Amino acid sequence: MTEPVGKLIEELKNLGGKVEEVRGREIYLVASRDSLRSLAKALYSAGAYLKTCAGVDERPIQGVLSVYYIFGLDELGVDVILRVPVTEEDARVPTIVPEVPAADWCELEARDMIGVEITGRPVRRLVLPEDWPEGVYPLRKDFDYSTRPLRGFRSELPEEVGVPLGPYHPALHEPEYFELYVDGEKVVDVVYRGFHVHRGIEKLAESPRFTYKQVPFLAERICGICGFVHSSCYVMAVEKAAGIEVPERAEFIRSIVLEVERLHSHLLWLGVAAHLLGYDAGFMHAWRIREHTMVLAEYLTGSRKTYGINIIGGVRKDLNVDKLDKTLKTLATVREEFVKLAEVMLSVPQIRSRASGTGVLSRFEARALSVVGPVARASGLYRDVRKDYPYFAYREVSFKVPLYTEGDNLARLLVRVEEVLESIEIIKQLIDKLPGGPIAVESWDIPPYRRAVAAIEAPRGEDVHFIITGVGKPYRWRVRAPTYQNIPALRAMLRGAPLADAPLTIASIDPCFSCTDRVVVYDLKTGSRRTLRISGGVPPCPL
Amino acid sequence: MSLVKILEIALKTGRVTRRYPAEEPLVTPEFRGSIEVDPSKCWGCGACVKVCPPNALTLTPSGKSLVLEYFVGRCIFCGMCAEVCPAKAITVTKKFELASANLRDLRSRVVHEVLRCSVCGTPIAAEAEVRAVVKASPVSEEYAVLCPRCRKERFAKSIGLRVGAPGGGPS
Amino acid sequence: MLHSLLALVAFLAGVTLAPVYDGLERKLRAAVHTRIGPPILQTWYDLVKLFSKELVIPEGGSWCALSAVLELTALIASVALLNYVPLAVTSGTVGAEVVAFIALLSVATALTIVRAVAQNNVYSVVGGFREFTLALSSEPFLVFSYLALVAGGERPVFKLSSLLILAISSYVLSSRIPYDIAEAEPELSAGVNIELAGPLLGVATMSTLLRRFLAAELTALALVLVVGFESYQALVLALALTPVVWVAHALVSILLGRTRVDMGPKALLLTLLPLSVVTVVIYGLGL
Repeated sequence: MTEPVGKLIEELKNLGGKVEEVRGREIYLVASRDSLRSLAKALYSAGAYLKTCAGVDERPIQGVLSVYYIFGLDELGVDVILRVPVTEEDARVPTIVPEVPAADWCELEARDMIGVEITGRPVRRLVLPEDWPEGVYPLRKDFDYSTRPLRGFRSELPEEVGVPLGPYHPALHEPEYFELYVDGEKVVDVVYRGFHVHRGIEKLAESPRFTYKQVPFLAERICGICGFVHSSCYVMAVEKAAGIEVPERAEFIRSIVLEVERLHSHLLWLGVAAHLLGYDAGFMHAWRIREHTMVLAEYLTGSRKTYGINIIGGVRKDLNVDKLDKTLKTLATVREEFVKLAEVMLSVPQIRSRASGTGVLSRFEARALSVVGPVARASGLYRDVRKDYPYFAYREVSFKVPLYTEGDNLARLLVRVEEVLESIEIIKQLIDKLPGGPIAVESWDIPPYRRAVAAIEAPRGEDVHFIITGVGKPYRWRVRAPTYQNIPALRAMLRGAPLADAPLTIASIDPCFSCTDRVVVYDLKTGSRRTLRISGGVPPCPL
Repeated sequence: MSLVKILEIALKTGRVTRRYPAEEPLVTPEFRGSIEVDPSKCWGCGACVKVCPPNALTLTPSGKSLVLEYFVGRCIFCGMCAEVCPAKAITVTKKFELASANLRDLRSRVVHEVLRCSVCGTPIAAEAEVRAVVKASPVSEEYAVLCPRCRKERFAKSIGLRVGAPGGGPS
Repeated sequence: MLHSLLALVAFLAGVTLAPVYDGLERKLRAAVHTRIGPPILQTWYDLVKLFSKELVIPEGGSWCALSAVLELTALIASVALLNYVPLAVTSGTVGAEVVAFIALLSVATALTIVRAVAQNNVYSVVGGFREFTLALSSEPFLVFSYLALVAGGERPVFKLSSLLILAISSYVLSSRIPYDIAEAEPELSAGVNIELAGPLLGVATMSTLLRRFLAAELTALALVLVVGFESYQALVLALALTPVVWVAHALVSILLGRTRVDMGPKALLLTLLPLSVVTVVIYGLGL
């Protein structure tokens, strides 16, 4: 353990934390709920970002309900996982939101799913519907997957609504609900209600239906754009927990495919941003260029999306010389066409003027909310999982991480544009250095009740998977997709800004919910409601 | 003005859309479509059923037979079934134009005769599976037609004969 | 008599051809997008489909439906008058036809706003307000430049300056990007048109098409008159040039993005107001 890490651990020990386990770059501490707040504060002051927190029903293992707080020290590349056990009879923990604002959502989710009460803050249902019965906690082990609790159906919207347009409506691609409170043309506050498509994937993986082998395919379907990120993160977490050594060639192949996925995702986003601003030519051309990457993905993996090549211990498909050749040719075409398109798009006056200086997220707010990905990098936070916690083959390549400080919509656009060019360079380096050898381990063995945290830099930012292995299947699988971390930042971006910027700002975090986002506007002065509609255009990735 | 360059780009590119279905769709050689199970090769062992993530393949007893059913509606076209099949009976085709107005068109089945124990009559496994196992390994056909319990009994009795225990000898 | 007949023929041609010109626009847009695009008659097919559906009156009720129909009527009449004007007007005077044309155009705009605001749908209301703002920042200039061209006499520089103002403000009339903020699909999910369906949507679509036709023919006619043609020649040439101007308008809308509700009107005022002042000065100087 390095010196700064050692010092931090000493400090945490003094505040009541006990070291349970150290595995590689993961340090597991356990502490009582009384020490929780001071520990969280110490970690935050040390520069740690909250990755997520997860409630786990550990009663079958050790008779307690535990809340895991996963902190990441980017600069040291170390994860500190703090476990706070509570008994079923006295299941409560204090909130750490005053010290770590980023904990807002995951605390509420733990409350909903495991039934640990969070004291010292206003609480509400987050991931479960408002009329979910009390005392029924889906992620507890005594809640069988096939249970369907009886609920009274209550209409979700208050009576003042003139025209109900959501959360469920034929015109909306995915249910979504933003409430904007305005004063004239200025936004004063924002309330977000989501999780209308909470699919219970974490619970599904724990059900009898699934085994370790099948979960990668489930994980791939968490998101229709960054599916490979999720399946890679899952297998990485399991491999870490079980100590499975993946052959080098497989790691390279995974990295190559991950970067191909980044290309398609950013090109998709660029097209959608253009469409949102009324520049359909940009949309069509961006997606035309993206088509090259989709065909490439199909040629490399067998499918345009949901590649299905990740298995525990390696990959299923190899890359032969023809495929590598085709990859390089495709990349050359994509690069050439992309550079031209970016130049054209940035010279359309409406795009420049509407994206500059709008939707600003300050560095301070970005750090407090632990935002991830291009949103973080556009606000001056130098965070990239590929650099901070290198995984797979990223140690073998050199690349730039674009950093901007303006924090506006244009900065987020430019970060993604640069990342496309960097990804192309990364893939070229990976192909150049591709080692020989097998693409998967012969066999693997996964002992139960091992823990691991894995993180991957998805196109939208850091994706975190936390695994506690079980027998034949995961005991607990916590997925924190990047948008989960970024949506709370929208409140900061939209407050005090003109209403007309809301559509583009919401789309600028590259939200992983589909096309039409619904925004309800309350005019505080007149008390009237207005509604705007936003088009984002990406398939679901909510958790 | 650089934004006018889009016209130049468009002129150079031409048209990229295709008049599908009048023109052929673009599918690479690696594309994974629906699967086909060869009934003459299939053992009815259920390895594919075990590995199938969405439960598109099911193995259910039906009267005197064992039915392997493939429901395309659930298939995610991962091809894991083809990978694990010991009989190499599953091929992954390039078919993706699978829509039909009739739900029945989406289901296909391979019906297996079930081998019953020659002594007690309990069903053992599909005949095809037993046949394949006998071909591949040095198991005497006489044992292959017994269910595990009867097999154990017979084995114990034959050992008994060898060592001279009472009641020994083939039953 | 011959004048009226000719105007009638021109008018019918215009109304029939407007959807075809729109088809050309869609083909052009598709080409710039590297797509094949719909067949050229697609807009006619769309209109036929819309008119063949059952009549649905939105919640704004009869006011909305009535406004939509009256708006279309006003626009149709405008087109008719526009075709009549070059034949009837003599240089230097402002005849009743010209005044009637301007009046009808303004009425049509007002009716769009009435239709939008009359509805119970907030998207529509917001769209209506946006339409209002846009109209305020462009229509006065349209009227001014049109009158200037018709009645301005033989001043060449003055005519050119007025032509410029007319070209810009008539483009705004055509509800195209960058100025289609009232019907912005990603922002207001069709805004003013959101509650319309079936035949009423057909009526609104036809109104938009006629606006575009007016915008194109107005500019074409202005150009032709500035160059010096008159009477039949002016009319025929203007009609021939209309698709060319329409395509030019289309090209502009393809190359640009949508403006913002505050930026658009501001930019327009900042351009057209100074231009108008300059034009008046030029008139005063006798150029």
